Amino acid sequence: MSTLIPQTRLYKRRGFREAIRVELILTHFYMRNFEEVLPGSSFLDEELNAIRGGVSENVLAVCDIGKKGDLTCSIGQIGIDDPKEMDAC
Amino acid sequence: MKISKFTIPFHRDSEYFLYNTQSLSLIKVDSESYSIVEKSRTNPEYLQSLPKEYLSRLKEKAILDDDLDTQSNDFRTKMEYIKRFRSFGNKTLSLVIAPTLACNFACPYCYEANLPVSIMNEEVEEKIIDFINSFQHRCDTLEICWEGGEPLLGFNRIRSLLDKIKTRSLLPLAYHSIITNGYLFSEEIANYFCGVNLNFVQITIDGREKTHNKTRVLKSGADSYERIISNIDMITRLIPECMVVVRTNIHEGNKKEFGSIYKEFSKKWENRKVKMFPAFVMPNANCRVSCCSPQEKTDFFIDLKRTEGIEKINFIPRHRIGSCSATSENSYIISPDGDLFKCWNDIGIKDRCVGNVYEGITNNTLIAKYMVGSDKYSSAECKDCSLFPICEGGCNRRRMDNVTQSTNYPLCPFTQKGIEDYLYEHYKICEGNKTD
Repeated sequence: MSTLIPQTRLYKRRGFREAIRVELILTHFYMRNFEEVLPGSSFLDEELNAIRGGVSENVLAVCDIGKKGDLTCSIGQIGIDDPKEMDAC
Repeated sequence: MKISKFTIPFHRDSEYFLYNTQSLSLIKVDSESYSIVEKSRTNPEYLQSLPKEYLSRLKEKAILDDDLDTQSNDFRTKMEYIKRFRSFGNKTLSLVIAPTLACNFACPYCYEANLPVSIMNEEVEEKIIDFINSFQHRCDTLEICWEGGEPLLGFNRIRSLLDKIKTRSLLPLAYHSIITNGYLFSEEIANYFCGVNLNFVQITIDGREKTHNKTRVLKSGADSYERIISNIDMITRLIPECMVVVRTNIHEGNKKEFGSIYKEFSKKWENRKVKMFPAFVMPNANCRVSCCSPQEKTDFFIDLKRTEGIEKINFIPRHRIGSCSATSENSYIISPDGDLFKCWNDIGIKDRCVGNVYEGITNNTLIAKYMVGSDKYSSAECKDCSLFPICEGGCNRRRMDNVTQSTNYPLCPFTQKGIEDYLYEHYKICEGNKTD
């Protein structure tokens, strides 16, 4: 793998067409192994629009100090009506 | 182009992953591209050996960023904007009211110690109504959480204060909850709370009967398990619309029991509005149980899935803005004598008092420290941490103490290795589902 940089440069020196060919081979190789386990998402804009519209996030965050305080981090946001799972993180 | 500050490359058993806490993308890749991306942290030129289309995909998933960290910095700024928006823009007045700090229990991990045991008097009650009404131009609604001590030792005060709120508050009561040990929850109390639409009750069960009775012990030394279980059952029958949250305070002595009680009570209260969840005890000055380490916390959840077969565990991190009463403009904790606090753990501690219901706010310095100086956005170290987007930032009170009093409380709620373990667990679940 450490040879990849000089190898690519070498092919590029051999000409544009060869460089394109190498690029395609490498792309195919890497893309074949590119597996999206979690596609990911960002809800920040939706979140902003929601709070502008007066809708608060539906979260029960945990503040683990001592005997109680679960609602500490979620005052104003404690409407968990349909809990489905436990958050490990 | 370079690797984003929010990218975590990790591998397990010859399987290679790139995870980004900004996009929340988890990509499984080959060992070569993994190695190139990882090495690019010290020398971004390594990335030039990857094809453009591939680099473009990695950038799309925020695994890579430009040389100025534009994507990650912009994301972080937007998170902070949301945080401040929430902190200062909330139109709900949220009050935690302790009618008494007295308690009938002697739990070995309780952080409340040597506090006065008086019960709120009628004068304070009247001033609380005035205090609520002073927010009429700033807030639209009112939320209340009753706590203590054991708040049901002051049940008569809760009842009379709720009656006054109903008739004299200029803000409508939109939501109210109670945190109680559950021992004193009688049918009379349940019927009353049903009539005033109690939304939420939290009660703690610390394990099977024998284990529970070791930590949830009455001051007299008597056991509490049977009565609490019976009371939860009664609450779910008499206040069916109320969410009953059963909390287990997890420590070394009971962590292995949670799985079995979770399964037993989930079945017992299957068709009722009950949720169970574990919460780890954190060390405090008065704590007499052995607390779990960060890795033990991670292993706890993974064991629940693997050993106990509990499916309802979410191993996928999500964005955490981080908020609590201490950083919410319109949130206060009110002690029985009418003192105001920003943090639940400050209650009864005079030098943490920010005002009282008689005079209003008297300590703006402390409020300012909490509001803008105690969260993850105030820490340069946190802002460059790869976990920043998915981390709450830990306890604001402890962060403030570390800064202002040179204490050394650990703040990180989890470790990077813990997140990697969770993600790998999730990956294996997905793989298992494919073969099924």
